[in-house]
Amino acid sequence: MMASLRSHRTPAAAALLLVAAAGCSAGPDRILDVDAEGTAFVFLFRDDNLNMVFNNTVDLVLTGVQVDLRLNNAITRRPGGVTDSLGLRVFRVPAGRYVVEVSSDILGDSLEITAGTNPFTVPANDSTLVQVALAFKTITITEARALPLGRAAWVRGIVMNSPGVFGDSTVHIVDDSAAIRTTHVRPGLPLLPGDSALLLGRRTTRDGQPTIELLVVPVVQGLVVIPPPDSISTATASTADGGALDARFAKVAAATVSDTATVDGAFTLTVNDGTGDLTVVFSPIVNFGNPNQYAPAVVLNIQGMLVPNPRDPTEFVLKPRQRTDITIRP
Amino acid sequence: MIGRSWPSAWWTAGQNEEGRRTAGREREQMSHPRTRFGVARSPVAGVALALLMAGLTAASPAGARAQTLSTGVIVGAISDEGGGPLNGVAVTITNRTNGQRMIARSDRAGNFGSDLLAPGHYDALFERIGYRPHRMEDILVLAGSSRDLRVSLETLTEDMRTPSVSGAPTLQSFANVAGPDRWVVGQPVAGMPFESRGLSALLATTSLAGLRYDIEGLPATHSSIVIDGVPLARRPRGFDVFAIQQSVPLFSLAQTSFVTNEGDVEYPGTAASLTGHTRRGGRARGISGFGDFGSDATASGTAEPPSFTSYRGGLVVEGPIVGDTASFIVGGEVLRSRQPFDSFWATDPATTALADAAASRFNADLTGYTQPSLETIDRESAYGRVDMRFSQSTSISASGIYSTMNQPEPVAPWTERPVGSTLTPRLRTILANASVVTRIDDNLMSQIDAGFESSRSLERPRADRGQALPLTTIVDSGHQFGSQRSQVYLGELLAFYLRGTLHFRSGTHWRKLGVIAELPSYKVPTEIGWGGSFNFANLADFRNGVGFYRGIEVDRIRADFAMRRISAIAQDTWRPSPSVELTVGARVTSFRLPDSSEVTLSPDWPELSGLSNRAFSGRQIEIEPRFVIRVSPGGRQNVQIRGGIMVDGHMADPDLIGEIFSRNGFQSVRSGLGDIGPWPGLPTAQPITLRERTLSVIGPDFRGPRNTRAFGSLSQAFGQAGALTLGFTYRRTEFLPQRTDLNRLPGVSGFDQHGRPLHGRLNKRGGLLVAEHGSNRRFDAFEEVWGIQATGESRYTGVTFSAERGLVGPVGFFASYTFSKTEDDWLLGTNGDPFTQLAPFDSIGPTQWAMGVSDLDVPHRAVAGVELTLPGSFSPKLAALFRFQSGYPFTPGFRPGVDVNADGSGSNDPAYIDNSITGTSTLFSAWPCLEESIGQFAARNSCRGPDIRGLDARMSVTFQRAAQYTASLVIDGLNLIASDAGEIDRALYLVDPSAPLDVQADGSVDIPFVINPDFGSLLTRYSAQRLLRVGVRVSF
Repeated sequence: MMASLRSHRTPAAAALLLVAAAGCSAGPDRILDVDAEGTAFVFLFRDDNLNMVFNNTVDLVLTGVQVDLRLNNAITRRPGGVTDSLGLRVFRVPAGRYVVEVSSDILGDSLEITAGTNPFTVPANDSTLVQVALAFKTITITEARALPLGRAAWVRGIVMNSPGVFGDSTVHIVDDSAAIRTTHVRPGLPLLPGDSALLLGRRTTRDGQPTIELLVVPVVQGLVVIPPPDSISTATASTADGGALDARFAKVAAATVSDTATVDGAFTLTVNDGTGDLTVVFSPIVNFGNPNQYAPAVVLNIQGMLVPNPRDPTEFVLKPRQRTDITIRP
Repeated sequence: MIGRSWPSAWWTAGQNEEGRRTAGREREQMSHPRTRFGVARSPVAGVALALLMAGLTAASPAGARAQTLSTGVIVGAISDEGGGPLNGVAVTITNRTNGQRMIARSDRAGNFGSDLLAPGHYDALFERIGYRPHRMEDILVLAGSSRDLRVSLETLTEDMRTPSVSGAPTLQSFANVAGPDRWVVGQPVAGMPFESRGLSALLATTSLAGLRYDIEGLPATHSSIVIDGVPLARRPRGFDVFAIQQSVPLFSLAQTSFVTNEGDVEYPGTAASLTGHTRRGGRARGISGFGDFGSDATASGTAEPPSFTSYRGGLVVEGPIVGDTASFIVGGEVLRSRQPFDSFWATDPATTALADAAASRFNADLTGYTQPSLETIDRESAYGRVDMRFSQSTSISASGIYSTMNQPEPVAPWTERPVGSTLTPRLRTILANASVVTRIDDNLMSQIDAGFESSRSLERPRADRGQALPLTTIVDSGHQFGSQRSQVYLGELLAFYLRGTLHFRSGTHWRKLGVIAELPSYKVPTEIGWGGSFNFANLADFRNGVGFYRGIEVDRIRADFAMRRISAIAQDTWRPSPSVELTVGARVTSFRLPDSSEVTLSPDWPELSGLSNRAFSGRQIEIEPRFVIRVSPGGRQNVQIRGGIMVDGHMADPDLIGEIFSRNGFQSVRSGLGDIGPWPGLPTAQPITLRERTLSVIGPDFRGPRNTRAFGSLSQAFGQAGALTLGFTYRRTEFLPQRTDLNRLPGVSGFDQHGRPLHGRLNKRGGLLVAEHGSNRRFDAFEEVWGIQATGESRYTGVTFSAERGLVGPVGFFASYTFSKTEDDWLLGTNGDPFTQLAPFDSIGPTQWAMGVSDLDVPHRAVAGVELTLPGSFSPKLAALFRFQSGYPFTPGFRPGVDVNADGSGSNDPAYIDNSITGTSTLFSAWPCLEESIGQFAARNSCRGPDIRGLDARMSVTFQRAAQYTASLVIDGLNLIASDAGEIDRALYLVDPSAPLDVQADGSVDIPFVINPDFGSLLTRYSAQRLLRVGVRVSF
């Protein structure tokens, strides 16, 4: 019996071992999950033509900018980093929907993200390029006038004069709230009165009044009707209502020429509608016709842009843009 | 004598050598303990079961003979008075049903055996010149088991020359409790009060099974049904398990048993098996029939039930085909059963207002919920069997069962259809089996079994389909009704089974080699969600059509696929001594799922996620070893110890396989919160969106579950028919399917005031809280994408004590108690709703929350049955069956429709026990489980519903007995003690309908909670009414 028992220990032991082996752990990890990763190339640039697509002749690659990815609808962020010399930051992330978050340090008060803010999908085992366009904020003229000196912004307005009309590189733009002069506008830029345009500029000052120094080629968005001028008295015009009407499109009516002169090559009139004198400066570049027709005692209706007198910034002058801005009254 | 009036008795009569039953025959039977033991006579399941109970017993002397899944063995040892082995004893074993005889002869060690016996009742006669003949009667042989007989023959002295038959030996009754860990029921199951339940009636009689047909902490889908040794294929729906069990009529079965811890390699490897063997034709030609009738005369409940009648009738023809070498039996039965239920909803103003609104505004009938109803079973069935012995060495058996029945309505809330659902179709089932047994010599034999199964859900009449309502929830009152399913469910199953085994003996070893092939194919419609679901904050919103809707677009797709399991088996049963037996075996099984290329590739999802919906291997090799030992310590035959360990693999859930076919990414989800239009019309206008698609994906290593089981038991026989058993079982099941939403946001959107992670933004309307559309999605082109992975685990530990005493005298009883503990991380969910199967937390929340108390953890279960045979001319009998179990556990949470964590599921969130919310502490006295979780999220299934009790009883008298017929009066008392069951209101808190969400910039949300004073009460009751059923049964 014992011999028999011994001879059969082996299969019994083998069976127990088999049971133990078969019953042990489930083996490989069987968790089914979306753990595949994809690659997100995040490219940052400053969109200086506001077309939300990188243009290497206009736009600016942003390097060294902190960029993060956040899972869409979640508070979970992926570890981020700064863009390289090409403006790229590469993320290797689990497949899913993400949104780009750009460091507020670069955004500051001037820049905003204009493209690349929508959630995007990073597919598994594939790559996605996300172009994140940063642009200066678009502001109204009133806001532009209040900008701190040196800060840049896109200013939306209606172009009131062609570049070069006044010979001082200024273009006046207006909106419902205010007007401002844009400086450093090259004469050849394709701007026409009535253009609705975005002008990127840096806040400057000329003759004591806020101006925008144009930085890039403006973006023309369409042609609109030029708003009518503000009808004011010559006295109000001569101070621009204390500066409040700086750069505005203004009109004085029934103003009698009291004097004429040529100052620094520009033909000037002194007119008065009975409230006070106002200096009207004719641009030497524009043909306003025979100066004799504006002899003293001639009564005129004149419209133009109000600007401070460079010689005395407390005084404002009216600068007609073209011949038709002046009407000789019978 | 009730049992005599039940059909089982008629079958007995038809096969009885003496022909028709007579009172004299009956008296004769009564004079023999084994006969009176009443395996074939007891009308009450409990008693019948009790007397043959071996559940968790180690009583089985599993013989070292050629037993198979479909046949059994009688073995034994014969000794003389001095205990020495007695050789040359002729052992004549006679099948009591058909009279077939087998003769064995004991060897020099006194051992004998007879193999490959058809399950049934046998007599054995031991004869040797010079010794007093010894006869043992009514030896029950079970399929797949061995009976061990111990006989001592007396020397024949001169004064003992008069022939006589001895009584049963000491171990007679004990040894007859054959089979490892099994409950056994003979024919009398056909006479049980709940006979309409078919094979599933067995489950009401064991402390191993629960009210929801759960066994050892696993759902019914993990148990198998074995008919004539052939396992039926796994059903495509959990509910179909109930239906198939009920569609196998008991009148066709000669023997049924409930088996666990079966170590034989041929068993199908499930958690437990309900086995049945069809009746065989007798040697005498005969026609028999039965009929019974009952009515609603004495039904009683909380309200008057609808009127009903129940009846059952059948006819059986049997007899020889060729002498005593071939026999046949055919039979048919018609059953109409009605069981009254109390109304599912309590009668209160809210219920009345809802029913009125549905009727007056939408012409929808909710009386199925507000008034008592009837559980309806209409079944027509037939069966037949032929047994032929071609030669001394070869015999063939073939059997078939046909049945058609409705899936019972109303259905229990834990099935996949809500109560009151009118979606269930009829089920047609055809089962056919054939077996060829060849005995080449005493040392070599073979058996081939083939099975065929065709089950099909038949389309419901169109007129009925119009009544189907979509799943609708009224959050503030807790009412839920309707179904997410579409209105037609057409499933189909076609399965083939083939098994060939070779048995050969070598010394004290019996070895077995074989091959088993299971080849099921399915046509499974996946339709959850197709019916759509509506959630309304309150009744006013329901009236106005303002709420939340979700439904799946595109017509259903019916998955058509096949699976395969092929096993090679080997087993060695070694019996080094009569008191020790070792069984070592193993299956090497190849499982195969459908080929992944058969699944339509989802558009976009693979590119987005890197996960293909058809990247699964579908093939797997499993080694399933087992080791079982049986010992009779010290050679004491009345004490046995049995233990073992084994590993079994299961086929994958065909429903899940069907789901990956039919949710393939081409289906869109329609959802929205707001003005969704008049209920129950399909919302089309804003705010409904229809753009995201849905999909189901299984993992590349997906496979069926695997059980590792260790068990042991100690049994002691006492008296002539009694036994005490103490047994334990430890089971670990791995690779259970778990569900995740692969498209859920993989991060958090914020946290609520309790620190609960939110997976999206919340929208609130009244007490309704839903996730903002799309806010919780990972990829916005998809809605839910179900990931199904084999990562779940279940652990069960149970100890069972049982006692039984056969009906040796006027009293028989059995009692069984099981203490168990089940833990798992397998969220079963309810109503087949995938959203209820989602874990509420993942790695970003409380980890391992899901691993805890199982949904099917029932610590205490007990059953007890008793039968009294009273003296008197009418042979009155009284019987009763009592059942008890702990309530099922549940997790304190929220009402359906309240998606606190915005993960898209309005039914899976646990509550945070916040003592600062007014009224919380007042619930602690009634629900101590809450107090244990103060300041934290409620643990999974930390609370438990009330205990469940049930008592059925029967009294019968036979008032007319004649040569040609018998008439009996039977009074069944059903649900004399009954507990309310149903769906518990697990909402600890409600969302304050009048307060807004307080959403912070960082995503954190303060949700206004208020206490639910109705926490723990029943939202939907499922309470069968007390029923006193009076029947007159005439048998001829």
